[in-house]
Amino acid sequence: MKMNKRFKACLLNLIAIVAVYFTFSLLINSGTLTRYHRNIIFTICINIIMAVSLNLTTGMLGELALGHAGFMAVGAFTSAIITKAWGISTVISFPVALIAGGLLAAFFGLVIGIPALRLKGDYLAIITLGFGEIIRVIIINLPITGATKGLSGIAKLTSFNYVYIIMVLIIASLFTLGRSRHGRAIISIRENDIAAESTGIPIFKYKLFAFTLAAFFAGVAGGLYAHQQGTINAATFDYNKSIDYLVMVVLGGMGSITGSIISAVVLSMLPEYLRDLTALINDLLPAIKITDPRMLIYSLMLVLMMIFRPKGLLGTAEFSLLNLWDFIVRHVKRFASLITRHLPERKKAITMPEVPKYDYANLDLPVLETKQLGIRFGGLQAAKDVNIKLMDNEIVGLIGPNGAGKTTIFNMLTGVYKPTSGDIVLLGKSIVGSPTYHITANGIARTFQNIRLFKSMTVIENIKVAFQTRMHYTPMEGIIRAPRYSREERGIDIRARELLSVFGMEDVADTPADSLPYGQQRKLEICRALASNPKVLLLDEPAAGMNPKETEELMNTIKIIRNRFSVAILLIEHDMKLVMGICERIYVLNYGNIIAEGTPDEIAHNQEVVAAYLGTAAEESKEESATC
Amino acid sequence: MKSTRFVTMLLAIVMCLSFCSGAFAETIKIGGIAPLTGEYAVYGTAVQQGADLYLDLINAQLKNEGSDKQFKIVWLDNQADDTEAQNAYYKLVDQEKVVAILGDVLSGNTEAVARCAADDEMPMVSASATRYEITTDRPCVFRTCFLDPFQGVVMANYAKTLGLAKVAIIYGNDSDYSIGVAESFEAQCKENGIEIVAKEGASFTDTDFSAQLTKIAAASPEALFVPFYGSEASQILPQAVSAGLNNVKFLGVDGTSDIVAFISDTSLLTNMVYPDHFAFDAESETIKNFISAYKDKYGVEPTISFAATGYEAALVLCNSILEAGTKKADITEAIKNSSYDALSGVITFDDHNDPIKSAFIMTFDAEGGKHFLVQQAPL
Amino acid sequence: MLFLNQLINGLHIGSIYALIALGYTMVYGIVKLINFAHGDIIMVGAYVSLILITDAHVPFYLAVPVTMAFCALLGVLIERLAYKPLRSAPRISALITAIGVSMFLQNLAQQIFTATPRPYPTVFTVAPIVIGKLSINFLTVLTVSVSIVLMIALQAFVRLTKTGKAMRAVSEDMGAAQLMGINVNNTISITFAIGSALAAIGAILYSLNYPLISPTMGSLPGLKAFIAAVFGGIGILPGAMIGGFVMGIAESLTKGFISTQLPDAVVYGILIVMLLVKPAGLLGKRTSEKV
Repeated sequence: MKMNKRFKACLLNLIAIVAVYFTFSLLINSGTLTRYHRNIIFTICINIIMAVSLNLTTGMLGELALGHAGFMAVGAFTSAIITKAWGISTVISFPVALIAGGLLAAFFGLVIGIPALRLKGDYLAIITLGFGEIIRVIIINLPITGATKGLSGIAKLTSFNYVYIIMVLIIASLFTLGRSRHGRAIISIRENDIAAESTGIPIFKYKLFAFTLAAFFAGVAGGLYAHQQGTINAATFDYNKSIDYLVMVVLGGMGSITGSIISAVVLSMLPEYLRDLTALINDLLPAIKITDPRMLIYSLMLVLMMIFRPKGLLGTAEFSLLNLWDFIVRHVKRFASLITRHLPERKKAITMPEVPKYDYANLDLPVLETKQLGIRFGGLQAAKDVNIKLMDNEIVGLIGPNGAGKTTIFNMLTGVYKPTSGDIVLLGKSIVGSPTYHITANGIARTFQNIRLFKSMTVIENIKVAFQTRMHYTPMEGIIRAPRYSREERGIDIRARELLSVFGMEDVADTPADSLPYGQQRKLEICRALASNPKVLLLDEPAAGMNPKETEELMNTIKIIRNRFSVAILLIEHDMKLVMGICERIYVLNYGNIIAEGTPDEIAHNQEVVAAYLGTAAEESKEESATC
Repeated sequence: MKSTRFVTMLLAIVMCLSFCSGAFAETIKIGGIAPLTGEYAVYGTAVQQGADLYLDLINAQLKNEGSDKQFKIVWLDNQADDTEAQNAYYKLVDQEKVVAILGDVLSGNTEAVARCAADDEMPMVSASATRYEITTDRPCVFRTCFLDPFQGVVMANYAKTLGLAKVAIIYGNDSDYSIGVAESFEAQCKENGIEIVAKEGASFTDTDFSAQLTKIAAASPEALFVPFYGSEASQILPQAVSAGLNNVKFLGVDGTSDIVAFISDTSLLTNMVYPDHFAFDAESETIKNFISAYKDKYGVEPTISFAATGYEAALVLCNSILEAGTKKADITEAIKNSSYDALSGVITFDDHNDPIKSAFIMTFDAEGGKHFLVQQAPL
Repeated sequence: MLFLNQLINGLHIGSIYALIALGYTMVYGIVKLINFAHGDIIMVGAYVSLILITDAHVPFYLAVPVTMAFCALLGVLIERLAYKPLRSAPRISALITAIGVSMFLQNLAQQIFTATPRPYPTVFTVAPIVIGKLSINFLTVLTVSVSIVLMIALQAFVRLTKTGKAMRAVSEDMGAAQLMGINVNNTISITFAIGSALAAIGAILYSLNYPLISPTMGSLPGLKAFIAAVFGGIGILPGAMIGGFVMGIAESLTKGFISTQLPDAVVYGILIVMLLVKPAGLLGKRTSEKV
C-alpha cells in the first residue's frame, strides 16, 4: 500500500512535468507565446533554480547566506567564456560549459565555505555577503571576464528544453536528496546542531556539502542566465540580487522546495505587472511620480511574513500533487476504485543496518575509563583528577550538587569540550581530541539535560538520523535513488520501527517530534541515542521534570535498555529514588572532584557524602522539582 | 422584413466607417527604452523628454500637411537592468509591434538591447550610449551622441590649449566608461606632451576619495581629470581641495554635466571644464527654438544634454521612417544615409554608425550656470 | 608625511564608522540582533536634517537635537513594530526581518525623495588647522573628537547610571533581569532610542563630510560599521570604537599604498581572519551555548 502510494505520487508528478513541458513547448513553437513571454518563462525557470538551491542552505540547513548571486556570477562568466572560446558544436559545448560553470561555482563555494561555515548565524550572513561582493570585485578586475564591460556576444543557447529539463532535474534531485540520509542529516543540523553532532552527524562536512551543492546549482543557473541574456555584467550579480532570491525562499517557506517554486514563479512575474501598474499610475497622476514599488512591496512582505507567518507560505511542508489528487479523488468516488486498486507488491531487497563490531572482547576491562581527567576554563577548574570506570552492562550513577561538574564530564566524554588534562579511554582506545560525531560513531551516545530533539522532523525521522553512521549510500545514490539507497532505507525503516516498538512508541512514528508529550520526548531522545548502537549510553538527568509515575516507568525502561541492548549506562540524576533504585555503582562529584564511589548502599551510608551532600541534596532536589 | 434589411445596411455602413477611420489615422509606433525610475532616471528622463518634444513637433507638422501619419513612442522603463531592458525590447517588438527602437540610455543596458536588435535587424538609435562597441558590427544600430574615446581625446587636446604640463587622473575602476575615457585621455596627453603625474582608481560606490586625492596632491598636478558622473564628481571636487589641490583645473566628461544638481559649493565649479554633446547657450536659432519649446512643454530649461541627443534621435528615426516607410531594412538604410538638420548642425553617420559631431567644451559660473567655451571639431 | 596624511584620512573615516558601530553594538548587545536597518536610520537622519536646514531654515544647533529625537523615535518604532514580535523567534527570522526593514526604509525614501541624490548644505566654513607641513581639516577634527567624546559618554552612561545597569542586566539575561524587576521592554526601547540618536549624529557628521545624500547612502557605511563592531567584539563599546578606527585606517592605507581596488577585500579579509582566530572579536569574550 505504501509503495503503491509512492508510485502513484511519482506517476502524478511525472505526468504533470511532461504535461507542462509539452504545453509550453507547443505554445512557444507555435508562436502563441512571443519572445517576451519566452524570456519571462526562462527567467522564471532560472529563478526557480536559484531559489530552490538557496533553499538548500537557508531553508534545509538553516544558515542565512547572503551571497548566492556571487555563485551565479561565477557560473555565468565561466560558461560564457567556454562557449565563446570553444568553437565546436553547441550541442556539446553548451552542456559542458554549464557543468563547468557549476563546478567552478562549487569550487568557490568550497573555498568560501571552509572558513565561513565555521561561523554561525549573523556572522555567516555577513561573511557570505562579503564574499559575494569580493567575487564581484574579482570579476570586475579580471580581463578574461571582460572586466567592467562584462561579456557580450554570448550565443543565446538557452532554450526552453535546456532550461526546463535542467530545472526539473535540479528540483527532483533536491527532493530525493532531502529524503535520503544526507538530507535528514542536513535538516537535523538546522533543527539542533548540538544534538545532530551527538547523534553522529559530521556537521561541518554536511554544512560544507549543502553549501557547495547550492553553489553548484547556482552556477548552472548562472550559465543558463548568461546564454539567455547574451550579455552579462558583474554589476548585475550584486547584493540586491542575492536578496531577491532570499525573498523568494523566505516567502515560499524556508525548507519547502515547492514553496520556493511557487514564490519564484509569482515573484518573477510580479515585476512585469508592477511595471505596467507604475506606468499607469504615473500617467494618471503625473503630479506624484512614483518609482517601481517592487522592492517596497517585497520588503514589506518580508517583514509581515516574518511577524505573522514566520515559516513562510508553506512552512517546511511540501505541496503535493498526490494530496491534491487524493483530495479530488475523494470527491469523485467513481474514479477512486480505479486508482487505489492494489498493485501487486514485488519482493524487495533489504539491507539491514549493520551492527557495529566493537572489537573488544575483554569483558574484565572497563568499556569506558577516564584517567585523571580534568578541565580548566580560564581560572576555573571545573573538573580535576576524575577517574571513572564503566564496566560492560553496568548502570552507574553520577551524582553531585548543582554546579559540581557532572554535565561538564559528559561534555568531555562526548568531545563537546576538550579536556585540559587526563585521558579518556573507550574500548581500549583514547578518544581525547576526537570530534563528537566520531566519538558517537565509536560507541558513546548521550541525551541532554534540556531535551534536544529535531523538533519539526517526525519521530521516526529523528531515529533515522541516528542510523546515519551505519548507512553507506552516497549523496549521488540518494539523489538517483540507486538500489543501495532503497535497500538501506527499507532496512532502517524496519529497524527504526522495531526500536520504537520496544518503547511502545510505534503508534506515534509519523507525528512531529515536538507534538509529543514531555515524557515521550525524553523517551524518544533515549531511543535516538540507542539508534546509533552505542556501547556506552550517557543519560543527563533523564527524570528531570517527570512525575513519580513517569519516573517509575523510566526506571523500568532503563533496565530494559541495559538488558536488551547490552550497553553500559552512565546517568546523571538528582532523583535519589531512581539513582538508588537502579544504579549498581555511584560516583559522587563535588567541586569537580570525585569525593566518593561505591554501591548505593555504601554511598547512602558514606558519612562524607551524607554530610557534604546527601542531606542537602535531598532538600535541593525537592526544591528543584517544586520550582520546575 | 424591411426593418431587418435596414438594420443590416446600417451595420454595414457603421462597420465600413470604423474600418476606414482606422485606415485613415496611421499611427507609427516607435519603442522607447530608458531607465525612467531609479538612480539613473535623470538620464533616462532627459532622453525621453527630448524625444517626446520632437514627436510633438513632427506630429503637429504632419497634421498641418494633412498627412494621415502620426508617430507615437511607447516608453518602457528598464530600471537600469539588463534583463528588464531585454524584456522591454521583446515586449515592444513582439507585442507592441514597433517599427524601430529609440534607446537604450546606459551603455551596459544598450549593449543588451543592441544585441537583440542586431539579431532581428531592428533599426535602433541610442541617444546616449557612448561605449565604442555598441555599434560595432551591428549595421542597424546607431547613436546620436559622441563616443568615450572621442571625449578623452577632446579633453586632452583642450588641456594642451590651456597650456597644462602636469595632469593627474582619478578614475572609476569599476566602470568601463570611466576607464575607457581615462585611457584615451592618457594616450592623447602623451601625444600632446603632457605629463601624467598620477593616476588613481576609485570605486563609483565610494564616498571617500581622500586617500587617492592625498596621493595625487603629493604629485602636485596642475589639473585633475575626473571621468565620473556628476554625483561622484561633486564629492571629489571639495575633497580634492581639502587634500591640498587648491588651484587645479578640473577636467570632466559628458557624465559630469549634471554636477550642478549635486554639489554644495558651486563656486568650485568655476575651475571645471567638461565636454558636452550640446551647448544650450550656443548662439544658434535652432537651439534657441529648442530651448524655448522645451521650456513651454516641461516648465524648465533642459539641464542635461541627453535631452538634445534624445531629440535628435527621435528626429533621425521619424524622418527616416517618413522617407523609407516602415520596413526594417529600409529604415536602416535611410538612417545610414541620413543628413538631417538637427540641433547641432547636419547630422550624418560614419562607417561605424556614429554621428559625425563636435564636442562643446563647457564651464560653469559661481552659481552653477553652464557656459559654452569652445567647440571641438570631430576627429 | 604621506603616511601621516593617510593615517589621518583613515582616522577620519574610521571615526565615522566607529560612531555608527556604537549604535550597532549597543543594539546587538541587548537583543542579539544585527539591526540591518541601522544604516538606513542614518539615511533618514540625513534627510531629516537636510529638510530642517534647507527647507525649514531651522538653525543647525536646533536641527541636530530634532533629528536625534526623530531618529530615536523611529528606532523605537521599528523595534516595537518589527523586532519585538520576533524576540523569541529563531535568529534567522529576526535577521530576515531586519533586512526587510532596511529595504523598506530605503525604498520608502526612494518613493518620497526619488533616487536622485541631493546635496547637503555646507554648515562649517572653518579654515584647516595647520601644524607644520601637516594641514588637518576642521571637519576631521570635529568628527574624530565628537565620536571619541560620545564613546566615553556612552561608556559612562552604561557603567554608572541606573538605566545603563539595567541595559547591561538585560543583555546578560533577559529573563533574570525581568525577575529582578527591570522593565525589559522599556530598557530595550531606550537602547534603540540611544542607538538611533547616535545614528542621527553619525548621519549629520557623515553628511557634513560627504555632502551628497541618497536613499541608499546608509547601506555601505552601515555595513562597514557593522564589520567594525564585529571586529572589535560585538556588544562591547570600546571594541566598536577600535574596530571602526582599524577599518578606517586599513581602508585608507590600502587605497594609499597597496591598491585602490582592494580596500573592501582587505576589510573583509581582516574580519575573516579575526573571526577565525578569535570568533568573538578583538575584545569579545567567547560564550558557548550551554549543552
